[in-house]
Amino acid sequence: MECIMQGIIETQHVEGLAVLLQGLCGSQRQAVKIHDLCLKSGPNLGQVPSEMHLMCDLSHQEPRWIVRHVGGAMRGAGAEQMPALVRSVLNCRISNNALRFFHSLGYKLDHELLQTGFKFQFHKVVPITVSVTSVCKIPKLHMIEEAVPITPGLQLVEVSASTSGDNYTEVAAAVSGLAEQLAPLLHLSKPGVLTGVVPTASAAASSLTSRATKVP
Amino acid sequence: MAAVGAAGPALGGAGQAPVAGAAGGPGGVSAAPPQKSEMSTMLQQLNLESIRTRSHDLFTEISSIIQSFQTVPHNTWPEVLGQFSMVNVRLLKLVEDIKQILKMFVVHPKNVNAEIAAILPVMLSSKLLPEMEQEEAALKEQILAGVSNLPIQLQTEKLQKQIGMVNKACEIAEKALTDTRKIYGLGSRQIPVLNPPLDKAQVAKIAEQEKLLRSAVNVGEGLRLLPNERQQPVSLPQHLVEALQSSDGGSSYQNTGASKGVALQPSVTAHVSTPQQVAAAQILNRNVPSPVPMLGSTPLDGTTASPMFANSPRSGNTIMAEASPQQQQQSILQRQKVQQMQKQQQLQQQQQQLRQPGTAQIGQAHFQQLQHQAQLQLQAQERHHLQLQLQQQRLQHQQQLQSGSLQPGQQLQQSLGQNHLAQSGQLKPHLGSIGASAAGGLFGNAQISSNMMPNAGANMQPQAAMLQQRLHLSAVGMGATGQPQRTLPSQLLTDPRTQSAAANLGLPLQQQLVGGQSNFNSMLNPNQTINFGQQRQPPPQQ
Repeated sequence: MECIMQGIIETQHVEGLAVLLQGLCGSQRQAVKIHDLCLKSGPNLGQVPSEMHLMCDLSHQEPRWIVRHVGGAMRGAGAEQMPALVRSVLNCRISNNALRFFHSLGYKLDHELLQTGFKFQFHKVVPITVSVTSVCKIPKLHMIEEAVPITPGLQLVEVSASTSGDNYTEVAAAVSGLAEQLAPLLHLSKPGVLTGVVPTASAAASSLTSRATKVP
Repeated sequence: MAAVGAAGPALGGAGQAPVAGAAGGPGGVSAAPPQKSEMSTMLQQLNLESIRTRSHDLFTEISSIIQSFQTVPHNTWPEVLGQFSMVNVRLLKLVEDIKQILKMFVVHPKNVNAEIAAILPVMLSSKLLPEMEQEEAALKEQILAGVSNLPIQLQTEKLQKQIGMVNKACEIAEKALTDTRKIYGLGSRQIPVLNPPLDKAQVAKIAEQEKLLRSAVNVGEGLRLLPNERQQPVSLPQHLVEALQSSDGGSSYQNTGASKGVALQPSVTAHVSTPQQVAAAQILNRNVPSPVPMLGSTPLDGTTASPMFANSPRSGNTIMAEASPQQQQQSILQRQKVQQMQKQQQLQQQQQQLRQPGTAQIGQAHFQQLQHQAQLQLQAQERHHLQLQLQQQRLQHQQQLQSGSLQPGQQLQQSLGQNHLAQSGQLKPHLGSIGASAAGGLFGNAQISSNMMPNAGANMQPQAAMLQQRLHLSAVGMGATGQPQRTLPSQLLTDPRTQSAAANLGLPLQQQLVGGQSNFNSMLNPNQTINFGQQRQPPPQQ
């Protein structure tokens, strides 16, 4: 299971956010470049089509393949009150013939996208990952060199932490606490809930970046 | 000593003595020029400022100690004495410092002797030093230059105006400094918002973009390529090249593409340049059917086929309008032949597909075994048909001789029909079982049989039901073990008891049997569809 919040930030403020996250995190940022292939099962594999994500991590020398299945979100009154979304998720490293394997099972490519950016790893109660990425669509099949950002002016911020069935409240609290620390720059919410931009974002970002340049 | 003496007894006046001593310092005049140089050095040594601060500190400390007598009730005496001792030490030090100097400046009756007598009046006078006098005079002239001749009130007014102007100038300078500081962002922590606030149009635009982005990430909207945009990639990125490489150079992809001749897009066949590209296209190609397409296009559920059955529960209205039993028998005969053809086709197709390495590598050996079994069964059945036909014809002749009521033409037709009925009745469970075993070999016969049993027993009439169950059991047994039990159904049918029973009851029983068996088969099919995955053999249908 994972606990996740999503937000958007204008591209011009991304550097300010990076400075803030660097200050809060303490460790260096890591590059993110993921080619996400979303596969949908055909009609021969059951009544309801299932969706699998094959993510190829291209940020290292060797491409790493991960298979990811995103399950349903937690429901109920308690879940609605929580600021973060808790949903079942399966992530697994897989060898590079995963694509052929899924094809032979009957899965077909539904859509693909490319995410480039950076991420920070925090350790507050649980390991939390904050990733800031530009999401690009791929106009021609598999041509990631020609990827174009879907929204050039906006980038996606995701705060996620893996959790289990018994400690999700604490993890959700930690995630929302971290989200509050980023409040001057962006609003975070459950995936699918629109937030808009924060009016103080520009001032906060400029102050963050100006302080950064003052340091000799 | 004078200072100490003054400070000791009178605590209240303690502050005054050092101050007086300090004030006496510069006030003391020594007119002798040779002493002037000493004076200047002495003055430097005096360090009036530090003496002033030290004496002031001592004064405040002593007064605070006195106050603590009233404010802090539980102040213990030793503590207070300790504080006093501190103060005492500092005072002594201060006095020592100025003692030497004070001699020059302060007149003490004790110190007065013949030496000092000459300059005593100078020392006692309060006149400023000549240098200081000169400075003061110069300052006065400067300030009162324009106003010295006016009455005092005017002078004060003018002086106050001057002070006011100076103050204003200072304020303006201060403001200018802070303003420039703000503009250049120097030193101030709070930077004002330089960007104008977002207006509604911009907010709306951003909201729209946000919707796009979130839906793209979470759901994939706006990212799906239309079929006409799905062209072959000219060159795949490196990680996909590695991912789509297969062990035999991609030949499996091409072969499976070729065998699915039904619904491939023309683009796939046109660009067979690299196997990876073909594979990529096939991954995309939603029109490509599943690996076991049904060339015979037999429908999986019996909805369309069942109206053809006599007395099938699904076809209640349509069958009643059908013609004579002769036509039914002929149609049954035709269907039986079609069944055989389909079965053979399916077996051939299985063989074709299994020869390709790409698919079904898991159960290939097992599959081949089942194939072999199925083929043997078919051959055995064909032999049986011939035997059955002979036997039945003999029986029919006997019956005809006995009854003697049937006309020759009808007899022949009836006998033929009965032969074929028996054959079809025998064949259907066989084919059903073969279909079940062949395809269900991967999934387990037990499941299928358990599904079959309750359904088989549900709708039948008791006589037909018993026969049904026996047939069913034999069919399953046949599917499981293979050849040895194949004689059972034929034995059942050629059992003189059943034959005579059938003859006595007339055709209706056989029709019911056929109908029952057709139910049996039509119910076989949905059960089998549930159990099978990709490698499914559609069971033969009537």
